[in-house]
Amino acid sequence: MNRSQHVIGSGLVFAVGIWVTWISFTQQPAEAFLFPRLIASVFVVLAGWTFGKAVLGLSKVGTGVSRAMFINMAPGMVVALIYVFWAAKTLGFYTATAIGFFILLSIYDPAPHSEAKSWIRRVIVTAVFVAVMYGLFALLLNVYTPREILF
Amino acid sequence: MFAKGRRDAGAEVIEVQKHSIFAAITELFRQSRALSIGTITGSIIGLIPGVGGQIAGLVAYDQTKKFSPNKDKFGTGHSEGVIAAESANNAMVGPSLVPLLTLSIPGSPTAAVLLGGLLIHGIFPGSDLFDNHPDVAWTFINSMLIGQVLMCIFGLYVAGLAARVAQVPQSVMAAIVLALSVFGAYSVQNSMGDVYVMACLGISMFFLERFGFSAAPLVLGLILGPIAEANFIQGSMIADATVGKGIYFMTGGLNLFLIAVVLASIAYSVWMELRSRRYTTKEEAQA
Repeated sequence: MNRSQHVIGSGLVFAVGIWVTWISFTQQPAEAFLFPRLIASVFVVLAGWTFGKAVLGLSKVGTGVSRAMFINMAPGMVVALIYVFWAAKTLGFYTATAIGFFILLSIYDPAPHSEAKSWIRRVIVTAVFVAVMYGLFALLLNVYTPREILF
Repeated sequence: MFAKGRRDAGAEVIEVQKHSIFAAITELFRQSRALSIGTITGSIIGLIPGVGGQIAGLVAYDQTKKFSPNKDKFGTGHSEGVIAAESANNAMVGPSLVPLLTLSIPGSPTAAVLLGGLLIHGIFPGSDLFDNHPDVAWTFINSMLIGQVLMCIFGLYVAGLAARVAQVPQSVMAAIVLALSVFGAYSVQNSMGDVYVMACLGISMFFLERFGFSAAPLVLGLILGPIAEANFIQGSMIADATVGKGIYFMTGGLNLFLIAVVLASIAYSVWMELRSRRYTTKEEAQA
């Protein structure tokens, strides 16, 4: 399984290399795209080499992603993607952070979900983290973040 | 952490290992190859304007890994990797002031602040600084020396406390890292586009790393790409106006030295790869 995952990964990198090379060589003026063409050419050659080695079984493969690992990370990744691609901009950074932080903590905190004490602890940890972030970045350092609906 | 899931995350407790200062210093000198590579790489990279400590650390780490017989231990907190990255990160600080003090080119945000401070006082870095204000130039150099000593003392006291970060539960740490990643990516240019790029690359690299690819080239490309492109365009324009690109980029002592270093690094990697494959084949045959 690890080898097939490695082949798929290297194939995707090679496909990106071909796409980038094609884009850079079809853009004009040629002089302005000289650097991207040079880099893309080297990139596609190396990506092709890596893909060839992967197909022939000559390259070292990683530890891979098992089914259990993927199932473990899927909920966290879904929450993270919603947080990054929708909530942070739509709800405002600090509101989205508070909600996202609490959900992630609730999903992955090993403390039992049936105890009220563990839920109180999660709420406190979330509140303290968001308060520190807001106090430090918004009030003290005046760093701008998206503040759309709430704060 | 997401990948470990709820039960396994709770089961893993990271213990902070305590060593004496003498043992740490002994280890530092025992890993003299990593220390040398880190220091030399960091010093050279520090001279290049706009290239930060992260690049120095990554390049030194990568080079040390290439030359190390313990490649498999890299990425697990192995002292060689830590020493290489951290010595490069520290070694680049002093040389990063060279472009500022000699050419008025601020190579880092810190250097830009220093440049602002000098200009406010009517001091222009370059020949003016060394000819008319040598006291200021020497203050910079001496403060770097004193800073190293003070940083050593401060570091020894803070290191014990900083190591406790590793004891934060992973469920909390994962959520903190996600929030700070979004905040950090957004605050650079106040752009959600940067956050989306960060998320896409982060997720892609997680999977690619699990499939056996290294994240270092991607990070180097992202950070060095714009710098290399801007300088290549500048060099091309000068080359076109003078001797042509071929002669301009492929001749001269420094160019040839850099080309030789790159070729030697590639050749060494290929040689090591072939050698390790030969050993693996021999071991398999013996087994």
